[in-house]
Amino acid sequence: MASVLIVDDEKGMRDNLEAFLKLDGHEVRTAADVESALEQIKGGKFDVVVSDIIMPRMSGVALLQKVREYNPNTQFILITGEPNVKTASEAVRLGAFDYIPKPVRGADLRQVVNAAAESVRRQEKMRQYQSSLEGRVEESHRALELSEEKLRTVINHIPIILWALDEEGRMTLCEGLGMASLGIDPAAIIGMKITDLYAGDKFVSRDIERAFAGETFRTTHFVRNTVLDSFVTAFPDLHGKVRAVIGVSLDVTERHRAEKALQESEERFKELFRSMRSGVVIYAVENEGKSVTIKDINTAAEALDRVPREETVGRELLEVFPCAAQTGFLEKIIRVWKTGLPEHLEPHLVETEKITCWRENYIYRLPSGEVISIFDDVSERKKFEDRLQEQIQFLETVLDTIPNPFYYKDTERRYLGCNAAYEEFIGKPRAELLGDTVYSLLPLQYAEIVDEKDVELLQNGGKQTYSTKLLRADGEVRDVFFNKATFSRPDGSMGGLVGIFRDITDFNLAQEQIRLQISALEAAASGIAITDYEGVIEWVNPAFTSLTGYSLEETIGKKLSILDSGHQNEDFYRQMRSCIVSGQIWRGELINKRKDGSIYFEEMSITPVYNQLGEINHFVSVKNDITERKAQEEKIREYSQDLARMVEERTINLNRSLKDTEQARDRIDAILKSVSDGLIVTDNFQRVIIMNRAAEEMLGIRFSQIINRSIDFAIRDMELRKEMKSALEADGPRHLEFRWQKDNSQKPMFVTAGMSKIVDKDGRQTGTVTIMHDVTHEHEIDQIKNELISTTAHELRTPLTAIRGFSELLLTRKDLDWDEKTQYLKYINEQSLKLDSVIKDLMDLSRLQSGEPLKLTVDICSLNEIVTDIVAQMKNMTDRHSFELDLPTEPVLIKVDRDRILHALRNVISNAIKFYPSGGPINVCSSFDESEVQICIEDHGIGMEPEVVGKVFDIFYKADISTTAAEGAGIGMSIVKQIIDAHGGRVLIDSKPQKGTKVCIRLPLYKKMNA
Amino acid sequence: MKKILIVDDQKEVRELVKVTLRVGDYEIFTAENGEQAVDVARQEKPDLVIMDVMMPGAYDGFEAARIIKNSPESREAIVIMLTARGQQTDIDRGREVGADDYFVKPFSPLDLIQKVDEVLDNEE
Repeated sequence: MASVLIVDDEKGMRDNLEAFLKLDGHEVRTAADVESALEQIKGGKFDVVVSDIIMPRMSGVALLQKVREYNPNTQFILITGEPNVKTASEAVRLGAFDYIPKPVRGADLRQVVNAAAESVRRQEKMRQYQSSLEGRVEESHRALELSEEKLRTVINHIPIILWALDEEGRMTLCEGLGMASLGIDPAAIIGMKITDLYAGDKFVSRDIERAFAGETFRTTHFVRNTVLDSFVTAFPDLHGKVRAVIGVSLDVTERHRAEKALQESEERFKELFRSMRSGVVIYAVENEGKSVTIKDINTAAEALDRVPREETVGRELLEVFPCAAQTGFLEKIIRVWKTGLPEHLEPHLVETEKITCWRENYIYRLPSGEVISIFDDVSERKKFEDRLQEQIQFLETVLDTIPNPFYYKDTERRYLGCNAAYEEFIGKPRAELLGDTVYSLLPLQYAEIVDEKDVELLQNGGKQTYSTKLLRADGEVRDVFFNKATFSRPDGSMGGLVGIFRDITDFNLAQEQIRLQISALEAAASGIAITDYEGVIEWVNPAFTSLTGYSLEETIGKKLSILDSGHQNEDFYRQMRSCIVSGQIWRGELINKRKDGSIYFEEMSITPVYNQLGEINHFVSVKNDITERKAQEEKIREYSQDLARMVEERTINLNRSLKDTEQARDRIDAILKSVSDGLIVTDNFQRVIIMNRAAEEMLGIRFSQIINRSIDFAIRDMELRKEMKSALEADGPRHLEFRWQKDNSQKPMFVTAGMSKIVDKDGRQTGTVTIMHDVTHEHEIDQIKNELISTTAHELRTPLTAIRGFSELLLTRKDLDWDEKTQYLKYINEQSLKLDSVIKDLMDLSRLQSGEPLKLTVDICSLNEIVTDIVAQMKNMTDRHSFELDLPTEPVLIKVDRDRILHALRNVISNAIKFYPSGGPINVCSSFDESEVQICIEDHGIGMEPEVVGKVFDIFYKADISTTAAEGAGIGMSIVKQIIDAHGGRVLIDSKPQKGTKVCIRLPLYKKMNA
Repeated sequence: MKKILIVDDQKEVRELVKVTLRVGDYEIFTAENGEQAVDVARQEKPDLVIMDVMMPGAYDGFEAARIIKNSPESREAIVIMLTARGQQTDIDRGREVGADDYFVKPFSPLDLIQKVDEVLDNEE
């Protein structure tokens, strides 16, 4: 079945043909002309085209050519009307499949078309087949190429050697990077027999045999220094005969070496492990350290622990050795496992069921993660160490016990050690000096001496003794005696030196002293004999010889009794003996006999001498010839007796005169003391020779301080001093009053001083006498008097001003009117009353001052009446103040001098007015209780400061400048107080500055009217 | 017309001086204590101030005189202290505070007029 296109311009033909072809099941299309046929051919592929040759515009042949252009595979069938050979061959030549002559027989048509379709089909198949074949060949080719490329890559980059052998065993191929490492040029060996190449290597021959037997295997062999690992395979032909062997070899020299080394190392390790004398145990730690198992132990370990492998390997450490936890071993294992850092377990005691020993462990972590412990039994070593330690301790104790300082140094003269005594001497602990030389211990000059000697000793070897000076830690320089020696090391070489010294300072001093003492004794002027306890002479000095005539040799071995003259009796000597043996010093006088028989007087002392145990072992006698002295003593005795007699007589006279003088002095003293005036007597040089108590008081200076010193010291007042000096020159006495302040804290005092000359009985001036009289009190009184006069004048002048002034105006002026004249006369009258009141006060005051009491004329009066009366009077005195009265409703009686009380109230109210200049209400209230009545007058004026309140009653108190009062304040209140006091009452004042003053007068109640 | 300020705590004295000086052609002001004196002096700028020495209050006569003499408004005024004491100390004190003269109580009004005329004439 094919797709056919019918092209004929005749529709009938078209239809016919279509019908025929459809019978074969072909797909048929038609076209009426060439154009539409081409259209359709363009649009789709036709297997067969049946076309009329003759057609308008384009012939079928042309169509054929066109179709060929489009699709060369389409079979063309031409339908021709003229069946001539030319056209037909033309058609075939042009590529038509066949031609069909007209009239077209259906059967022919079908046959041809089918043939054409078949042809098309076959061609198609053929084409497909060819193309697929080509495709496959292409693929294979490409695959082969790829393979080859891969192979090339492998050969060129991987150090392998690709080789092949033919059936003779000849190298046919030898390629690859690996050849370079062999250092063999492949070209050189191609064609050579492999067996020749590996001559003698029977392994290679065997391998070749195997290969040619058809085996595929792996083998290792050596080429020069290279180790090759080869993969060998047989390459059979189609018949199965092995024609060639192919191999791939890799250079495994390094790996081989490494493997070998590892193997050797493992071997070594195993050997070590096996044969080591120290115990080695390998542990595996798991579970974060909770499980520690024994992986392996060596023979030594077995022996040391006395536990066979079977019982330990594979088991938990703690199971086998529970003590591992206490000794800290387990802890260390785990720590090493964790940190990878090796640890050392100090020698420790291990106790198991089988063994007890001292063990030391070194623990490491292996690269594999296992922990290895290498240990030794150090029990023996421990024993030795302990013993050594003991010996060292012992030695040190011994050295420290030696009281002499001891040290030892190395060959470089550095300290290796010392004992406690040395430490004390140099004042440093031994730890500080180890490794240092003497230069770091002592100042340069001492260190040099020591070091010089050390160097000498080390050079010469052997021993050294000498004395020298050393500086002790406390700063004292001590004499010391050295004993030094060198010591050698076990190998015989010089190890250093040891030194020990004795402090001989005290010894030297003692020696010195003894020498000194002996010289002294020798030189002594007195005779000295030293005897033993029995009195046998051991030594005498030269003075002894000169005294007694016996020489040293003559006295030794004898007793002092050789000097006995017979003048002393036995008792004398017995007493002497008992005195000295009891330890006391005996002193006395004797009469002795010299060697030449002459007698002499002797003064002797015997002193016992003690030994270290406190026993008397010697006596020292000191003798002095006193013969001369004795004679002289007698003469003196005579003289002194005469003298005594004369002195006695004189003394009696002297005592008498002294008594008289003392009496006189006492009298004067008494006078001076009692005189209350100060008395100062100076000499012609103004030196103070007498000053009495009163003068001391006045001047504030003690006589003892200035006795015999210039008056200037005593008298600080320039004027007085000047006066006193001029008194010396003046003919008559002089007077002076001066103000003197003893010290700044005290009130100044006023003193009068009178000075006059003192002359002796011949009229010569011998000094001055000054009498000072304290007039402070009088001075004060004077001041008060002046004050009083001043105040009085003021009190009187004030009302007088108005009186004089207005009276003069009235007399001289013509311009005054009637009202003015009346007013002024009123003023004059009032002020004269005021004047009278002031004078009355002054009179009273003066009387009071002289001690006269106030005379009262008392009468029974009504309180209210008195108060009302005085207020009425005082109202007129001021136009600025109002009086607020507050009186008790119940009338009350008091027994008083009415005039005086009125006077007192007047003074108080007057003050209230004066001290209330701004004006305002003055409260006057009276009240009473069971025993008293009270009248209070309160103003709201300028008030008083607290200090002032207390002084208000002082007679001459004048308020200070800041509250300068008007007239009358000076004495008014004092009068009030006097009056009220005289009545047995009291005055109370309450005042606040700027607020006002309240004066309350209290008087005894007489009677309540309604009682 | 000259202005005169009279300062005294006693109203009789103030009136006495006022009447005394009435014969002259003066404008008279009065004050009864130091404070008032200072205020009036500053305000009225008197040509003459007659000041009593002893007065109760914040300032006494001396103090008031000093202030008046030191205040720019009133320092031109002539100050005469009126004192009942007349001791040397008062005179000195007066001079100290700058007072120009003093007058002793009790005084004759005629003498006072003369003094005032003198002082105020001199000023011219």
